[in-house]
Amino acid sequence: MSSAGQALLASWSIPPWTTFAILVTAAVYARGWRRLRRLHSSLLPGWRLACFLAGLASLWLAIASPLDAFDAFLLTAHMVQHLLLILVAPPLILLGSPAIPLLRGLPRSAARDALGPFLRWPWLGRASRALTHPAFCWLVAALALIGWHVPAAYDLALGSLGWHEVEHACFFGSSVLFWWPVIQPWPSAPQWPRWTVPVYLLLGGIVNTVIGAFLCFSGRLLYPAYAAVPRLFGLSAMNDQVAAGALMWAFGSFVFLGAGTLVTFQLLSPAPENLEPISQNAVWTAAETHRAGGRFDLLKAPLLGAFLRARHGRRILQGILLVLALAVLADGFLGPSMAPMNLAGVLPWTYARAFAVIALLAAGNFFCMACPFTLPRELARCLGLATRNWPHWLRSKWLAAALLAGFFWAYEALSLWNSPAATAWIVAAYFLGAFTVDAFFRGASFCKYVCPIGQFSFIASTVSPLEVRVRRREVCTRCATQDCFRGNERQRGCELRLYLPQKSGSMDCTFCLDCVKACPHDNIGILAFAPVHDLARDPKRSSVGRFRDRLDIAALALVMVFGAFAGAAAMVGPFTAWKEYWVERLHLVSAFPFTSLFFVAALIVAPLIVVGGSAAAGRWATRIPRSLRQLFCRFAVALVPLGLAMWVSHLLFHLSTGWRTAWPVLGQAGIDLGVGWLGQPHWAMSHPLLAAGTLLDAQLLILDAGLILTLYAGWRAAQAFAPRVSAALRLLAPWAVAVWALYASGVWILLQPMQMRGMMMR
Amino acid sequence: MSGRAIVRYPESSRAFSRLREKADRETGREGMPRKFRGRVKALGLAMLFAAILVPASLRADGGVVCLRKASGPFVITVFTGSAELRAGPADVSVMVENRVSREIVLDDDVLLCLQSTGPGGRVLEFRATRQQATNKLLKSAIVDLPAAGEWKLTVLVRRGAEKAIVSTHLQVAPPLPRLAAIWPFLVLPVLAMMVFAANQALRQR
Repeated sequence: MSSAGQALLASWSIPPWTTFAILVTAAVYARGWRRLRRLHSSLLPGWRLACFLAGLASLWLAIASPLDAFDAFLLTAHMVQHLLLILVAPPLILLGSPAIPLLRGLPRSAARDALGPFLRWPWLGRASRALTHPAFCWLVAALALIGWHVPAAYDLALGSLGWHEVEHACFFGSSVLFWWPVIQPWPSAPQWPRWTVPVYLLLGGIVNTVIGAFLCFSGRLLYPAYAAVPRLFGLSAMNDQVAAGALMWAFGSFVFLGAGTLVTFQLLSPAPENLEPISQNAVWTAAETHRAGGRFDLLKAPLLGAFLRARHGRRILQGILLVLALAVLADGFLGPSMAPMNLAGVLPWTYARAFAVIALLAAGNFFCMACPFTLPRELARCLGLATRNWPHWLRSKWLAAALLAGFFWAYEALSLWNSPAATAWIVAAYFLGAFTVDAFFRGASFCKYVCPIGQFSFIASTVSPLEVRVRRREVCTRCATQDCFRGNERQRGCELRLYLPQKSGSMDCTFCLDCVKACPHDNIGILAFAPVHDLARDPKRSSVGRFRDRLDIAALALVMVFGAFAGAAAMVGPFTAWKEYWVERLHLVSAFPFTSLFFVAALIVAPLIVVGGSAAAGRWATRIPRSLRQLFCRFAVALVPLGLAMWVSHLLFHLSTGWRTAWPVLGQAGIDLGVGWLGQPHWAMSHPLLAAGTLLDAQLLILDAGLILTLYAGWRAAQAFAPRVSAALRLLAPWAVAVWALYASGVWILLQPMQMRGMMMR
Repeated sequence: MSGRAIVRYPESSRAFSRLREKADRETGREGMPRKFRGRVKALGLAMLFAAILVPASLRADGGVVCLRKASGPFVITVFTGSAELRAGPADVSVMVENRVSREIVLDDDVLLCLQSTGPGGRVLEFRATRQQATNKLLKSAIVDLPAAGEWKLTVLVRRGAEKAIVSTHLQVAPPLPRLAAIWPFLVLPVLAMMVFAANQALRQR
């Protein structure tokens, strides 16, 4: 093949968001199809799945393949792209009868609570009736086809990315409508008799034929933009236009007439395809029965579930992190003092933090599951000294909240990120602290009351969709031994004193899976729930109680949330300039006092004013008989999704910019520690994982998600305090304004130039 | 065929069903054909997914030709990402053809030089490569236009001993405010709030 041909085939332009959306749609459809398929093998045969996936694939091909890169050079390529969007993707997608499988493939809450009210909305019914009327469908498709082939409109689309997208959206959307009455996807019913369909297709084919013929026989170049670009493959602009017209004419006629012929055969056939014999009500009833526990259970997932359930599954994860922690310790104390060249400067700050918060947002508290700092506990137990209970006066989150705030302050004020030795000291202190606390006190006192990383993970995991939970409550009511809590001769029970039948959410849960292994009924799983479901309500949780009564948990949440904004703000350009200005103006020796004051203001003063003030204002506006403390606590915890989103957005930046730092740092560490097989490090300017535009898009989307989830959690909290809608709105309004202000500050921070940490700048 | 099943989602509780029946009575939908109900809901869902899939994400080559000129042994065509250039990052692509055979030249080096035509004009250089181009027949570079005004773009093409230079003037408009680039992300939460409000209102009916 010629080099030009190879270049042509290499010209793929994969749009990340569209690709992601197509993959998600395919996954949802496949899940729903599989569920329905289990009920009745002939309900949705395999060819429908194949059609739907082929439709999505052709849609993706139209927008990601070299066709897209060459549509500005060749009208023929552009025509093939349009034919995929008009004649291939829409009918294939509709042949998949997508409505029911997609509905069944969605999580139950999304289908019932989010979509349900809209699907039952009479106005939508009337609009849909009008939209699917065959006359309307035909007219819209014809207008779109004719309108976009008018030279002025076509040139507009060629010269503007935005209009080009609108053009493609018009073709695809109008074609879905056009093919709707033809295919009549299950379970819709026709508005016109079936015999009209061949006529309908014939009329559609006439429009297509007229345009194709006009392109072929007009005798002049209709789209001058193609004359201005270099001509590829020796094809003149006029010949290109004729070829595109012929393609449209021939392929369009083949599809329209072929579909008309098939429908005619179907009409004449004595045994048409019929899904009716299966009662849909029976389908749903059977589906309900067949749900087998319903929720996704990670422990039942192939391979991963078995690994997690295995006796030493957690130990393997901890062992891996222990090796890394020891490497960090060794390199931190003995390696180069330059943070980007040292494992202690890169692994914890660039990678571990980012992966931990991404896991918290997307799944659950898997950092605590793999935490190596709890391994010394096992060693400490051998000493037999752990006979005391953790002091009553320390059984709260106050100590941990203070340690977490202190850690956020120290990170910036003492530049921990830039000091491998300090990082190594922190890791060493962690091992020593965990060993000391758990050597003298029963249970997992260090995890529950001391560890600031653990507390961060606990409070953040209230947003996570995965939760260690009992599968069937009725099994627990019959259980007399309560092994999950008390343990048995084989396996200890929950050391954090969480009684699984009353456990709700992931607060204080380290995902250690001791309860899973102790349960004799195999009744505990890692189940999926809607994100923030734990914040949307406030039941009495085992060993935690209600959030509205826990001022210490509220303080922890506020430190985590405001720490996200303060930590990110402290490394953007304007803050640095501001800091330097005040240091110079006040004749300070260093920025230490300024940074310290900033963190006191950000982590203590601002939360009190923002959340306390908004809760007080809401209480005053509604005059509800609830204490300010309860409102404060509930609204403080409801901010967690926004805080976690800010953490993820911020740390995603560092992960993306320092993505390729790990390997040369590992090589350097290997050389420092006398391990040569990792090879010589190749220090070079790190390429980011995500392009700048894509990264900002992702950050803003994550922040948007955090805002939406926070507002939802706040709304549910307000409803719990003030059941009437008007009162709930008055209660929520001041707090919602504060949340929007926090979100705006997050957007501002993300738009500022940020220090690139943990990467080489050579 | 019964479309009622779509309305009656299997997990729907008794209260959920009662709410629906009440809504049906109040809106007079009891007499509506069941098959029709199924169809409209199916269409609603399909359109929702179509709306998610298509409009926000389709990409196209919206490049426009800003220069096409023969020079030395080559014909050089320069494309810009949009007709109206603005200060900030801009996509500039170059296609080089053999002047005689009109074959696309792929093994050449392309350098872009931008010079401000104002007093004390700065000179910026960018190397255009195939790696940065979506269309691998082109060489592209993301050039950072630091300020609005008139800029002279010079394209230097070299293949072995063969060289060619073409130049043109670009009018660069002031950059759009940052908010103009990110407004869809700011509107998204507002839309979500409106949809949620509608959801809650419909549930109250």
